[in-house]
Amino acid sequence: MNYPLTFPTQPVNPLPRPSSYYECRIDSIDFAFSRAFENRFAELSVEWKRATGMLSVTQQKIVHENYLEIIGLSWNVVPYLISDLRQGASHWFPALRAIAGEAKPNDKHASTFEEAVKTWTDWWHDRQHAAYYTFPARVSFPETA
Amino acid sequence: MQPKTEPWHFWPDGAPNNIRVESFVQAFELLGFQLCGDDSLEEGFDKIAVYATATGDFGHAAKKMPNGLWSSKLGDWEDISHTTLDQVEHPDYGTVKYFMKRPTVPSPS
Repeated sequence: MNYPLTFPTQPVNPLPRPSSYYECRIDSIDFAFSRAFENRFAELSVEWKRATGMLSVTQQKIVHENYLEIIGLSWNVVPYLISDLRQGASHWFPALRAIAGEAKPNDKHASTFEEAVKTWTDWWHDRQHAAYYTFPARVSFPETA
Repeated sequence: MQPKTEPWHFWPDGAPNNIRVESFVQAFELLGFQLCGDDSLEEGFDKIAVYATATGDFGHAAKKMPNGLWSSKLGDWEDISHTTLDQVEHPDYGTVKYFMKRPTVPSPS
């Protein structure tokens, strides 16, 4: 993956920042990296929605190269996926399951979209201090209580 | 209607849970449709055209309206009406492979 060497000052598609974003002590360069992830997700998701919006079957939508690249952004993109889900986007569950792997929550009890969103939101809220970010080593995490 | 990847997706019990066009034909059969030979307008019947991609997967389904036009739901986009079935042919949708019909169910008054 090639991330931009210069970081745009205006995000392509500004998304609400997850609360976990503010809970990590990061310096200005890592701030730029996180904005780069946010912008990269925005670019990929907008293009993916444009390219697959005409499809009705989820199994066809999620094999698009942009969707797979979003999965490749791994844990860094989870807060943005959950934020998008909470705004009504319904196709991010396969990506979340692929990223979370064995750590995914048990969402089999969720019989509606709203229940599934709450399950994943609660799961992420509980994990936000333990999730791994692929930032450079200069990132320091908040000390646990 | 689509093969279940989430619990809230509607997919008739008994139809294979994959995106092969034959699975969608079985799903439509479970909903009362039967294969038929053409796209002509028949009074008293709902008629659909089922599209298949080059790989044999389901691509799209269009519904015949009482006025003779076809209605298509374009995924997350707006529904459209079109005069001929080839107007929505596309690599992602494929081409028409099957026609199916079922007796029209009167809407409750």
